[in-house]
Amino acid sequence: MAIPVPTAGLTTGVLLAAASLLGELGPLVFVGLVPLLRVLARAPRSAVAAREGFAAGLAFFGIGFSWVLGSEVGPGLALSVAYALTIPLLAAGVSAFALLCAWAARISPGLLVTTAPALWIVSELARSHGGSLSIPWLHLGYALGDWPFLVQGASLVGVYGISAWIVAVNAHLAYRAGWNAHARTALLAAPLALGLPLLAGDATDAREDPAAAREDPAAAREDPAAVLRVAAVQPALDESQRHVAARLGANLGRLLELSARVAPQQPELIVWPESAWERAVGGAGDAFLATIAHGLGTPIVTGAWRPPGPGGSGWRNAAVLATADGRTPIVAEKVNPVPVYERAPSGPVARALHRAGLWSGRFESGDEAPPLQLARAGAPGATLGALVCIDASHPELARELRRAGARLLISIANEAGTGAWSAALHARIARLRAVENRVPVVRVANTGPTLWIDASGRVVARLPVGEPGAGSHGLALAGPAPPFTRLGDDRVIASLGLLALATLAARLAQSKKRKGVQR
Amino acid sequence: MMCLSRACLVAATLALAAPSLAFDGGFAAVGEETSYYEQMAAGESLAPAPTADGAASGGLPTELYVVEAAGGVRYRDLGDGRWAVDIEVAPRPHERVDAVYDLVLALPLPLDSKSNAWRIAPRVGSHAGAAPFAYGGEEVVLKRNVPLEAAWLPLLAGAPNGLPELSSSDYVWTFWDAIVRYDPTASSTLQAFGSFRYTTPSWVRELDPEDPRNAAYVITWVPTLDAVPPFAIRLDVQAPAEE
Repeated sequence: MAIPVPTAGLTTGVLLAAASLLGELGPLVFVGLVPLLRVLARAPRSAVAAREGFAAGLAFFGIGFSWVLGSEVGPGLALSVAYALTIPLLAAGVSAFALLCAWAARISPGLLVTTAPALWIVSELARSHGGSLSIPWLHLGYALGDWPFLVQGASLVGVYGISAWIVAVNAHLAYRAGWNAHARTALLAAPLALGLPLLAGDATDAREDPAAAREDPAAAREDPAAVLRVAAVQPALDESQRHVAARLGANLGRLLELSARVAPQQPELIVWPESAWERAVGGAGDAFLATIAHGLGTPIVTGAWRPPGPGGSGWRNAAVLATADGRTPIVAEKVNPVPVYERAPSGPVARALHRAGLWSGRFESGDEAPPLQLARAGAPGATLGALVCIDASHPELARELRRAGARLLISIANEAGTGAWSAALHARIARLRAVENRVPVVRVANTGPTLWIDASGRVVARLPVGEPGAGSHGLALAGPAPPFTRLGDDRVIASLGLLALATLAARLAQSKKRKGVQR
Repeated sequence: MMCLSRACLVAATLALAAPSLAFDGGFAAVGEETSYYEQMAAGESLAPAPTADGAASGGLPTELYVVEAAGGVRYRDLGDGRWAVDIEVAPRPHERVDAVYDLVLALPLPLDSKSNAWRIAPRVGSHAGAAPFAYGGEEVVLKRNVPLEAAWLPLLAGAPNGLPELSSSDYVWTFWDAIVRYDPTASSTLQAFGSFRYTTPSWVRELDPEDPRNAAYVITWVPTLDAVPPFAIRLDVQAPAEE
C-alpha cells in the first residue's frame, strides 16, 4: 500500500522555513501552519497526524538549519552527522505536537485554537532548554524580528508569547476559515489579530541608512547623559584566518586600524566581536589589552577566551572590559556554548561522539555575570549588560541583566564559520531582545550584521555585512523596565496552559453531558 | 615539546648575541643585517600558541633584552622648579617583523613631578627643521601610561634583566607608550628625538650621569611573541650642557 505524500505537512515546513530564514518573508508565519492545522482540524487518524507533523518538522528544521551543512566549524563530518541526527529528533517534536492537536480536534475541532498555541510553545521551550543539546533558534516569533511593528507585544509577553499568538492566528484561520463559508469572518478577524501588537507602542522602523543614523535627538536634548555613544568594530575576518598563530598580528592590526578610525568620533565604548582578542585572558587579565584601551582613550569590550582556572578543566568563551585605568575584568561568559563544535562533551551521547571524533567542543558553560559598570566622562556611569553570541537567543539571560539594572545590552558574535543565514537569524533574535526588555542593543559581529538597535527593536544604524568596517552611534539608554522584564514569561506560559486545559475540560464535560442525554 | 623548543631557540639566540656584545643597532651591530625581532621571530615555532595562557603576569614580560644605544637623555634645569628632559634616539635599524608593537619609553622622572600634558610627540630630522615622527601613516605620540607602570614595574624594576632599581633616588620610573603596527614602507633606519617639560619640587637634583643605573629605555614590545623578551635600547643620562 502506497503511503500518501504528506503534502500539507511539507507545505507548512517550507513556509515556516522561508519565513524564518528570509526576514522579508517573516509574516508568512501567520499562514505557515495553516496547511498542517487544516488537516489536524479534521481529526485525522493518529498515523496521519504523526506523519504530517513529522514531514512539517523535517522540512522546517531541515531547511531552517541547512546552513549547518555549509558551516566551516568543527572537524570533518561532525556537524553533518549532528544535523542528520538532530533534524529527525526535532521533527519528532512537531509530530508529537500534531498528534496532540489531532487528539484535541477529535474532542472538538474548535479546541485547536486554544490548545495548539500552548502545545507549540512547549516544543519551543523543550528545544531551548535541552541542556547540552539546547537549540534556541527558529522560534516562530523570531521570524518577525525584521518587522518590529509586529512584535511590540513582546514587551508584554516575550518571544514565546509572540509565537503563541502566531500559532493562534494560524489555528484560527485553519479552524474558522478553512476554505469554506467562514472565510469572510476569518479574513476580518485575522487583520484585527495582526493589528493587536500595534497597541503596545510606536514602532515604525527607523531608516537603516548608516549615513542617516540618528541618536534619538529628543532624549539627547533632555539629558545628554541618557544617550550613550557606542562604537562597533567589524573586522570581517574569514574563519580560517582566525586564531591562527601566524595571523595574530595581522588580525589585531585590523582591529586596531578600525578602532583608530572610529576613535576620533569620541565613542564612550568600543566593542569588538566574539573572540576577537586572540590571546587567552586569565585571572590576572591582559595588560596589553588594557594598554590598547589606554592608547585609544576609550574602554573596549571584546570577546576573548578564558583558560581553565586552578582546578578547572574547560575553557570559557568570555567578554572582557578593558579600561584605560589598566583593568581587564571578565564581564560575561557564554552560558550556553553551541552544541557539538563548541560545548565540551557532557553526558554519555556527547562523550561517545567525542570519542568517535564527532564532537570537538572544549568550552564549558560559563557563569552568568552581573551587568558591568561603565565609567563616563562628565556623566554618571552607565550600567550595561553583555551577552556572548548564542546567549542572546536565551530570553532569560537578557531579562536578568535588565532586571539587574542594565540600560543597554551588548551582544557580541562571530558567525564567520556558520554563514550569513545563521548571522541573520541571530540579528533578528537580538531585535526581539530589545523589544522584550525595552532596551537598546548593540550587536557586534565579526562578519555582520553589526547593528545599533533601539529599545523598540528598530535598527538605527548598521555596518555593511561581510566587509571590514567601524561606526559609532548614540543610543538612548533604556527607561523603566516593561512588564516582560518585571514579570517574566512564566505567566504567559502558565496562562496558555491553563486556557488549553480549561477549554479541554469544558469540552470533555460537554461531551459527557451530551452522551448522558443520548442514553 | 613546543615550549621546550621555543625556550631553546630563545636561549640560543640570546647566547649568541649577548647584550654586552651589542652596542647600538641591536643585533645588526653584531655583524648581521637582521634585527632582533627578525631573528627571534624567524622560527615559526616562536609564534604563540593560540591557547597560550598569559595569565601569570597579565601577559607582561618579566625581562628585557637590553642593548646600549647611541643617543641619550639630558635633564635641563629651566629655573623656578621648571625642568625639561630631552630624549634622543640615534638612527638605528628598523625592526622588519610584521607585528603589532607597543613602543614604550621608560623614563626616570622626579617624584611628584607635575605637567599639564603628559605626552611626548617625537620628531625627526634636524632640530632646526624637525617634523613629527610618523609611522604607519600616523603621527606617533607617546602617552604617559600610569596603569602600565602599576602593572609592569613590580615585575621589571630591580629584576635581573629588567630595569635598574631607582628607589634610593628621588626619581621614579614613568612609562610612555604608543601602539604601532609594522610599517613595511618605513626606511631601513629610524631615528627620533623629543622633549618633555615638567615642574618639580626645588630640592630635586638632576640625575647623576656617572651612575650606571641612570638611563632611559626605549622598549619595543611585541606582546604577541609571548616567549620573546622585549627588545630595549638603553639611552644613558648625559651631563647637562655647558652654558
